Amino acid sequence: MSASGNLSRILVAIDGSTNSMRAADAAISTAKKVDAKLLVVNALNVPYSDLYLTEMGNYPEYAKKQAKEEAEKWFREIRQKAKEKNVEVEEAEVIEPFPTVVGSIVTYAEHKNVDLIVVGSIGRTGFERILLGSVALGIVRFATRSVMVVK
Amino acid sequence: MVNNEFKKILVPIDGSKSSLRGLEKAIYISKFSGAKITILHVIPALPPIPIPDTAMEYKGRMKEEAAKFFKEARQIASKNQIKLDEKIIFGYPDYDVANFANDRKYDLIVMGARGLSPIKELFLGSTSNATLHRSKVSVLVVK
Repeated sequence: MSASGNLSRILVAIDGSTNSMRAADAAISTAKKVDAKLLVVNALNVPYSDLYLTEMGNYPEYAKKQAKEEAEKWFREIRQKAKEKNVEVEEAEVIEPFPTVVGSIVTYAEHKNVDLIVVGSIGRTGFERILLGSVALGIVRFATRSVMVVK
Repeated sequence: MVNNEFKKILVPIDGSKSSLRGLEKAIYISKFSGAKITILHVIPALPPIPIPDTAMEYKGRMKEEAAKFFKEARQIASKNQIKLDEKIIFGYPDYDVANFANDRKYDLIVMGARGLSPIKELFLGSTSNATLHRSKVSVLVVK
């Protein structure tokens, strides 16, 4: 966590939005420069319309499956880009957003002991005018790691 | 804004440990990417004071302060064989750090999570927060 310490593992949090893919690009090129490994994480996205079916911590299986399939597409795209630049993708994972999206990503970063978190400034639900979304801000605020917000 | 190459990095500093940590991180990145680093200090503008000499005195004193930690920053940089551009401006840190970066088309702002107030080091300071919100360029918040 020390500032002068090396960046050897970089985590990028994506949600499939163009902005988050830009963040992934930035993460890949940073990883290439400093010779770091890349981790990709996606907090599970379940449509609001399905949420009434859920109990805490218990998403319906079909929703999970659907979201994971969707995430796999993004992972494949990122893996492809990383491969072109000779960056190793250590892990690409879908996690369940408990207690919150921010909380799960921050905890994941902690757990995997990454040196830098890269995140897009606005995600799927942001308006164009907003320069910083709630998830990005939350991650910056609560992560104990350095965070790069890609605009 | 899709610029991953980081040719120009802006590092706002205020003399705090956190801001110098930000500088170290910026230097680390620039070593790999060959980026040019500019350190920026925004001296907070005071509301107009009716006593003539006071404002000048304040500016002078703040500049002296700034010279001290700019020297420190230069030392850190020279240890890493990197040259810094230096800039001191008067204004409101909350606005002017982001505006400076937006206007001059920097690729990245690297800043400490907290400035001069020592409490809650891990959380986010007001200037970092404001810059994150206003900036149109990517921001790296160093913790």
